[in-house]
Amino acid sequence: MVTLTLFAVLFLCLFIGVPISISLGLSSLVAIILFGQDSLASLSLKLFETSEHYTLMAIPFFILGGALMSTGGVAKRLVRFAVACVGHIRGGLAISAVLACTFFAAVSGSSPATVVAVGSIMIAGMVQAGYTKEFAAGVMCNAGTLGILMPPSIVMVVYCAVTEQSVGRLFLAGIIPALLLATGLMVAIYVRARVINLPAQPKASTKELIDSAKDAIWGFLLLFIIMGGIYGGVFTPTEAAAVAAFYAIIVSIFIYKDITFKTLPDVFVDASKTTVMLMFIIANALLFAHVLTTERIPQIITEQIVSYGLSPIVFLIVVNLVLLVAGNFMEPTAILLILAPIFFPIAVNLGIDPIHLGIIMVVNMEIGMITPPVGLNLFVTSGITGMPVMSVVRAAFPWLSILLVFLMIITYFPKISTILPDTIMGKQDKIILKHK
Amino acid sequence: MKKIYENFEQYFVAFLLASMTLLTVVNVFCRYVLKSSIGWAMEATVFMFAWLIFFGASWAIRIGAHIGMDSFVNLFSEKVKRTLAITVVILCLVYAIIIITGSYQYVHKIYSIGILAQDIKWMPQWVPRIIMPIGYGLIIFRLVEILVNIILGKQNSFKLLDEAKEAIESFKTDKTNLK
Repeated sequence: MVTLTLFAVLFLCLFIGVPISISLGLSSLVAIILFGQDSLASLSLKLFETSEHYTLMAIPFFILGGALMSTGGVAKRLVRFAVACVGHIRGGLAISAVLACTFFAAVSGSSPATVVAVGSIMIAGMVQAGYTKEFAAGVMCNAGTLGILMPPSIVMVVYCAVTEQSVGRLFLAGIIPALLLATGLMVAIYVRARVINLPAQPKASTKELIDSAKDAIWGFLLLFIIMGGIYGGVFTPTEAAAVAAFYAIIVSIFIYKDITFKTLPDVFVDASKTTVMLMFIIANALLFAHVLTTERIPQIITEQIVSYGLSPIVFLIVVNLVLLVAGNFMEPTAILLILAPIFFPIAVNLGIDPIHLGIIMVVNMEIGMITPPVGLNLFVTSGITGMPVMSVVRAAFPWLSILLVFLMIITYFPKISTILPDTIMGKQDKIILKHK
Repeated sequence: MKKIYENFEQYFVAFLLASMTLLTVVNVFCRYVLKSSIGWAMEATVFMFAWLIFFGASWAIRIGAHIGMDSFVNLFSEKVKRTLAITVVILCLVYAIIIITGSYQYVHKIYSIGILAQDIKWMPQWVPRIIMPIGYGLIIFRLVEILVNIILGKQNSFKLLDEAKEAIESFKTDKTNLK
């Protein structure tokens, strides 16, 4: 009954256009007031406590760093380096676009930002070089999803905060899958380029390669600061994010000169806007998760699922199907916040590595970005190319199959995700669930 | 004066974000270079983070920065849309009124107990927490403003953020800074 009320109010609110954050908050409040024991005072305490989640504080810093580095200037430098590296291969510009997205994803934690920044430069470039607009848009739309798989990634921070996992571990876990997906896309482009005879760029001189690398290196250093700092034990992920944001300010003002002291406050305002929007959703989602746990909803579902005797792999397939469907209708962070508390205890019970589950959820969110009706990357690509959304959907569709195959690979082979964190940080202790 | 009033919210949130970043970086610097960290830095950042979220929420309503689903609503005629918009604002108001009541009780309790913050020794715990009733009060103010505008016909919906457009536009403003 509680569950029914909770989800009925949530979906009703969402459908009539109540903001996601307030839909989550209101449905939790209604469920608690009707069936629960918590006092109103303790509920507002729960909301306030969001700010005491130290991990979550990494989010504003990553958003700020991303806002500073997601400029045309940084994108242009990374694109130049990518073209110098692989432009001379057949289909080289499209392959460079994927490579540039991989680079860009390492400075930005957002998928649509990656599409806009790299796409604004590369799509026009590809069309000029003789590619069809559909081909260019399809490639960009898909490659942009790397933004949330390659660390730093805001979606990953959210997953870790909800399930109390280590951000450092999940970031490391994302690297090999991200490189694998990038390689998969590049190979597919190469094969297609052979078939439909796409042009190659003239080979870049060694000087151009070195020059462009030198110019791009400041962007790459951002990822090194974050990863090196976390794994070197120098600072916590939250501090790493703050230091990275500070580094981004220095680089964008003094070295790249993309931003001046006069425009800097605007970047802060922009970053605050995204932070507030996202954090207000998270605060309310934590209230929602609190209702779920006090009503023992995850435990009840876990008991049911375990009693069916599902094997871990069948469970993961179910997870994938649920997430793929949900991804078509809702915003990634919200899905993660609602479903992670439910899937997590089941996964742990079935002996699935929580880091593996995290990567699976992130890849599903990536696919949600490029499937209608709410695939954000589709709308962004449509916006920068001027193509109707339906044409972008058709253009992106063939490449979507690569992502789906990739999802299956990631699901069946947990090692791809866990090998890097396990080697570098040691095997994780077995998790014992706290039972209330 | 009017300009300051209109822009106060955005400068305040930007100031909070900037201070949080700076304080965290300075603290890391002190720990590694000066070998002693600032005792109150972490607690202060946590408080500023709370203020950023709950002060910012009403600002986000004002500038239409909250996201939601409007694909379903857009299927309806203007008249139905308007009714739905009024329902949405009223539901939001119900939510805000429940939380403001709860947070008032909570802050009142903390105030009467009179405990101090852990690391910032001179500050009573109710000071950072007062942002809950204040923030939700401001949210109610902005919601009522929207409700009045819809009824007067100055506005036809609860403004939700168009994320795709937003991503593209913030990138375009970057480009002009390049030259």
